[in-house]
Amino acid sequence: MVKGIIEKKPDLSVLSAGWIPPSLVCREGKVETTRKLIREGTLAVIGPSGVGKTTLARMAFPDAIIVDCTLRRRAQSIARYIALSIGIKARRFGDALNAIRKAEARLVVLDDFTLAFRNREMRLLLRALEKHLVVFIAHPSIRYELLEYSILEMPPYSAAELYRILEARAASGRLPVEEEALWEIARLVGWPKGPGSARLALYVLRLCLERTVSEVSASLVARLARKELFHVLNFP
Amino acid sequence: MEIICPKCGQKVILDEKGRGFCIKCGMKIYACTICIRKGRKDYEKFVFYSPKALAGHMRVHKPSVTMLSASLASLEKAAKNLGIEAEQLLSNARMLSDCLASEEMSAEQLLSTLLLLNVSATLALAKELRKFRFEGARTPVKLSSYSEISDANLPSFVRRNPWLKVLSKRSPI
Repeated sequence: MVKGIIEKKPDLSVLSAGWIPPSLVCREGKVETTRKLIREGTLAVIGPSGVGKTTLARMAFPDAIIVDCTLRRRAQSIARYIALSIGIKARRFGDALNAIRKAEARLVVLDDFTLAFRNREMRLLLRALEKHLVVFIAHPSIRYELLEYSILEMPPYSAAELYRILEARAASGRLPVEEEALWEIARLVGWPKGPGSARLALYVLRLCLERTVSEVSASLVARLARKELFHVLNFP
Repeated sequence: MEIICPKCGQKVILDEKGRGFCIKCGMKIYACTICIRKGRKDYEKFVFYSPKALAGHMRVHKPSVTMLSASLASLEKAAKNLGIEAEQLLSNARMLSDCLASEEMSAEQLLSTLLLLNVSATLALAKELRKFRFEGARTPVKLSSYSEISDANLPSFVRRNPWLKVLSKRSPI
């Protein structure tokens, strides 16, 4: 066996976008509220980026058909994807709509609906989805378009909330980060000083960890965090 | 290069490859540099959050479409020179090529336009061809018989060529 120091890089998968936490930290009650609201009909989850809207939908409705509108923006593409999830391969838009109309009621989550092309075809698709339960996940900029549905607000995270999220992630991944470093990031990104986005806070933490070699001291992470964040924010 | 994040409205500075980072969303941005250079402002149509989505968009800038436009332009020029009344048709075809590039058209619309264009193009072409044939038939080019051609008028490499006698008897094409 080779003697020497073997440095093992921390597993950063807990900081990636695809990782779903076991619970929605600081907003545990929202999962149950969402489940209650969807029983009344179509629901719109509205909030700025990185506040856990998609994570909430994934937790509340694990069996739902989730359509990522950042990738599928046209109504035709969305309709075909929903039809395919139901089990029907439809090439034409009309066929896909017919398949959606005839299918059993399902729960469809339109993630990042802000980016979908909201044109005549989209109206046709939404009409075809009337029988189904739909959850819109959107940015507040299109709130006025969704006023007819029940609305669930997701406000930006404060520094204290962000700290709890970062702490939970660091504990899950056993990341070599000290408490003070996490506080530093939380204070910089937390609302109202920063945008209050958990995604951004996790991104900064990931950058810091990628740039450190072995032992991670609080001051080092804090300094890197500030540096990276300032770079990202295009600060002088 | 500076764009506006289509999701949150935040200004984002991009590098020369069209990549940037939205600080409000905390997401990497991939924009189409060709569309930016064209000065387009409908950011939601060419700004993406994954390289995969950008790759999907880049199909609209495929060289085949550009080649189609170029060939249509040359056809249009030729049609003008010949005085053929197909300019309208060609401009329609040009519009179609733009539509093909824009992704706005639904598959049904595209198919029906293509079909209409095909029918009208065939009709126009048939009309032109018929006119050309009639004109060709009315003014046949007749070669003089070999006996009328004197060797002195011919270039040196054709003089005393036995094939001239054979060819002169043939009817024009």
